[in-house]
Amino acid sequence: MRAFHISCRDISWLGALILGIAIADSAAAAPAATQQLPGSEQIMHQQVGGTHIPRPATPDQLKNPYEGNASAAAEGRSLFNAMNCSGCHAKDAGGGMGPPLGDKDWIYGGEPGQIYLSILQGRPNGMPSFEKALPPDALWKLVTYIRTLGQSPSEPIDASSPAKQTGKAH
Amino acid sequence: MHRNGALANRQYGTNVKKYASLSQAEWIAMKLANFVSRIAVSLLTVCALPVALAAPVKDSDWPMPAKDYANTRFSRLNQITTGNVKQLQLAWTFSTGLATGHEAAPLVVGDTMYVVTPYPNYLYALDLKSGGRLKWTYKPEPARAAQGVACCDVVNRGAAYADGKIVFNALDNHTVAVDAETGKEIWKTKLGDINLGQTMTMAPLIVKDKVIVGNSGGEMGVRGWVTALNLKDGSKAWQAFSTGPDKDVLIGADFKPYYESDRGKDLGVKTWPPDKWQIGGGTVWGWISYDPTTNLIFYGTANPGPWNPDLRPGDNKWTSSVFARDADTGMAKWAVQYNPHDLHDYDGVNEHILVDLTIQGKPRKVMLHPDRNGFLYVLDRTTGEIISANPFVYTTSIQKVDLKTGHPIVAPGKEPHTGIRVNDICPAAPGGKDWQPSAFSPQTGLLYIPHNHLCMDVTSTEVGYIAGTPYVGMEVSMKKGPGDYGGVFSAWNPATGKEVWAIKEHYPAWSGALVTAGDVVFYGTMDRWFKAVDAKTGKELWKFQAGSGVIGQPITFQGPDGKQYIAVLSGVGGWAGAVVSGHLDTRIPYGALGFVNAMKDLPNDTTPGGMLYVFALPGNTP
Ligand code: HEC
Repeated sequence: MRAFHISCRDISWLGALILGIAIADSAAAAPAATQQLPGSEQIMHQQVGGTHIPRPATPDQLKNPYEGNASAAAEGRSLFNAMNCSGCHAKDAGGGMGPPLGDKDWIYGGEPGQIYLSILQGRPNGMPSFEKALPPDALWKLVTYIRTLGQSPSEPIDASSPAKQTGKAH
Repeated sequence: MHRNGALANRQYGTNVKKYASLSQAEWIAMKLANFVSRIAVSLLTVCALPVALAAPVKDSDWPMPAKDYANTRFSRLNQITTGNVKQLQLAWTFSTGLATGHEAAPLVVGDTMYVVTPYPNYLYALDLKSGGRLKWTYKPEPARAAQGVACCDVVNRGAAYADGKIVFNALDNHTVAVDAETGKEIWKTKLGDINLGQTMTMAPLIVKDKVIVGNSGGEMGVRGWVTALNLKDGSKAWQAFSTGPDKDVLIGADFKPYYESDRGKDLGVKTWPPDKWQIGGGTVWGWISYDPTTNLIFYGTANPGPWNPDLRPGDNKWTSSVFARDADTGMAKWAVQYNPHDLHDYDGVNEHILVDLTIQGKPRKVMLHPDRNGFLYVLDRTTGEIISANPFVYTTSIQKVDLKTGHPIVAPGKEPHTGIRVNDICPAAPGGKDWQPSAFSPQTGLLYIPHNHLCMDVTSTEVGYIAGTPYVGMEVSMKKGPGDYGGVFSAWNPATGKEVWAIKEHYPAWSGALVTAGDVVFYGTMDRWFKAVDAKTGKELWKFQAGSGVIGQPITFQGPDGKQYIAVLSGVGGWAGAVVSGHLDTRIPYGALGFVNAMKDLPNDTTPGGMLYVFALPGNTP
């Protein structure tokens, strides 16, 4: 597979830096992810990014290159913990500050493209945008992992339809 | 009141007198004031009378969540008694229109009740002369994204009234003052940044001409502070951080800590690995009390961050501590660190109730503090000396508090370390007791404590700091304590250090407590009951089934018709109830920082939904 080449000096790619290993060619030589953190003075004022109202979504045109790929899902799982998704959504995505991701009750849709946009752009009620923190490759691995958490919704949800966005109170 | 007090003294063999209780002369003055109370209130709203602010709280009103500066939640109203409380019935209700956790106390000032809601933090003014008709609503419009950085549901713990203003905190770090008469915003001050994980959920305390507030976000690597704003215009008077150099913590020459380990320069820096104090927690999201005779405020600081203790060797000052500060300058007078190098998320933010007790024959000015670590501290509030500390809950994590050092002794095998699973830590992370405030009756001399009965299994993990995201590093799974129940409501005698009676509850007792001169204690349960029990015996006298679990703070007041009323918000949520209000996945134990596992059955007993209930005895006249 093709992987992104991440420069460790580029701190705007903080997330990639933290999980450099998960998105590198060889998953073998992976030390504990956080050991690669830059000094706290460097990262103290970095932030993941604010949220904004999502762009009109065209999730259908977004195809997950890893759909059903078990090793990508496993890498997605470690990204989920290392990027602190688990901090807000809980380990195994049972929910907390952010909604659970393994139930069928999606706010913005459970199709791969919809999940991808949720992570890429952020969502207004407190889901940060990871656009600056993670490359598309890593985002798709996260999507692949999240898709393994629960079954996909029986009926695809159109993320731009407001009527379907009120499923979860958060 | 004094006679009853004497009775209680005999009964319990202690000389208990509420710190804020009145002298004979003050009492007569109060009686007079009651005649003209309605007029006085309308006067207060038009004139700025800072002197009046220090005066004792009127019996008919409830101007701050804890009722008084001493944080007693005791009311001298006595129409509702142990004899007639069984007749209590619904007077009127009001829906907040929201379905997250309702932890606030309604306020009553004159003819108006004020209710502040969870996010989006509406402030409703309700007319007590007409069954709670809505007078106006003020909407601070907090940033939506604030919801994503609030650790434990989007709660708000209430407002405070003084000088014609209602003051409260919005989730997105704005303190606002609203004209109590008109609902117009007077000022709005921004104190923090949600992009750094900061939020505000606590209720301000207004002392003289200052509003004192603190921040939340101990799970997000937020650096804690307490800030005083000028009541007049919202400008900043002083700010004291919980971590960092002495000049930031407002520690100066006047600082005289009682214990050796709390002495030294810049301990807020030296007790941390380099720079970690900047993201070290110690937020101030609990209760503040105030002693006008010494002009000191008292408040606790929250847990250090991250939870994983291996990532922050050192005492981590001044997290999980209590500060006494000069209310005018903010300068620290003394401090005690309850849990140095906290291992279990045992914040020190729980209430400090100021009372005067006779201990071993000597009158002492003390404060009572049921800590998250499961011990009930009696401290000398003039020096910070811990006079006693006894467990008030089932505990496995802390063996005892060493009164020589002031430090808790952690039980062997209950220290979390990276990659190691530690089982059966009791109390769990929400502590023996979390935010849910106790009440103290000067008549019975007892403290009424709503609390938890929870244990946890934990595995500490590596975690890196990413601003605006959680900084926890611990996988937690909680469970109900031995006997398979999650909470207790108990009465505690602080003079003897012993429990007097206790009521088991299936879920954590997550509401506030209220005690009245009628010797009735009120509290709510997460499985939708609002209860009245006998203050002396704990016998259940009355209960009412609310629409949703009750985690609000009950209050009492005297209406314009002269009758005594009881009011409480229902609406389950908060950290304990997030499983319901946040629709969390009950199949996964780790949700809501591990609380879900202990609350898996809550969705069978309640749905979310905020509603104010107001109760009174039948009949028109008192
Ligand atoms: C600061 C807390 C926080 C962090 C960190 C966070 N999330 Fe979220 N997330 C939220 C909140 C809050 C929402 C709900 C937003 C809304 O309702 O508008 C959400 C929503 C989502 C959704 C949409 C869910 C739905 O039902 O449609 C997905 C998917 C998601 N997050 C995945 C992730 C992933 C993957 C990560 C890590 C890369 C992550 N989140 C990190 C708080 C967070």
